[in-house]
Amino acid sequence: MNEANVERIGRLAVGVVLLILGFTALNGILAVIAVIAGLILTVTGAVGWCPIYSLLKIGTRKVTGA
Amino acid sequence: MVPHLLPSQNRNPQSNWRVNPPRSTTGVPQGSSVVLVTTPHCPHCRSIRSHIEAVAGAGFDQVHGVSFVEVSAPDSPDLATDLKIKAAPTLLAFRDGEELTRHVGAGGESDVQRVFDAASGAATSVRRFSISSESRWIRTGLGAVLLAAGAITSVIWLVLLGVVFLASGWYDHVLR
Repeated sequence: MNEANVERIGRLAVGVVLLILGFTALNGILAVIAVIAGLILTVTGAVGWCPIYSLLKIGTRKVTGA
Repeated sequence: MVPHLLPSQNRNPQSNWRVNPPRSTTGVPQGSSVVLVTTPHCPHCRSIRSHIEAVAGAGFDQVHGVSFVEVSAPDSPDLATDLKIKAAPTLLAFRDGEELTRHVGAGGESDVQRVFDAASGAATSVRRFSISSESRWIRTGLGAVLLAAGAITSVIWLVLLGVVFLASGWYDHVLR
């Protein structure tokens, strides 16, 4: 897990909007792009792990404690 | 190797919990044990204690062959240093003196369960599918939103995605 909860929620919100737009309002290549981008954002947001962050060895998640 | 846990180091004045480390004649914990390292004003220590109670039962000192020790880091600075404690709470699993895993910071029941499972050598399938409580609610919320969106727009793919995310949030719960 390398994403902060705020980022996860943001990814999910944008991802869900893109999925709904891709399946309902958009047509053609735009719909395909919206669905793929929406899927990537929802999956990475739900899992809390971004492969690009992992490759770059960065992340937004902090270890919490005292 | 886990450092010596002398009796005087194992008493946390802030806690009403019973502390009963498994001690050999040399003071080294034997067998399987879980160690919780806390500080007096740690904001998440109380919540993780409640999760431990939910997982293992209130006031326990040994469950399923796993002994429990709570250590106050300010009272045992050398021990905290030896255990490489960076933040509180830290929950560590030991078996036969070797650290198996640790959880640092706030966490849910699944995080506590994972540490206890590691100490007791429970089935790896439970550990593999164990997710944190925050992930469980995020996935459940996402699944519900997608299900609702799919039902409103009559898009079967959104409904299916919602079912998948709902299942991913609750699958390990079903396993238990």
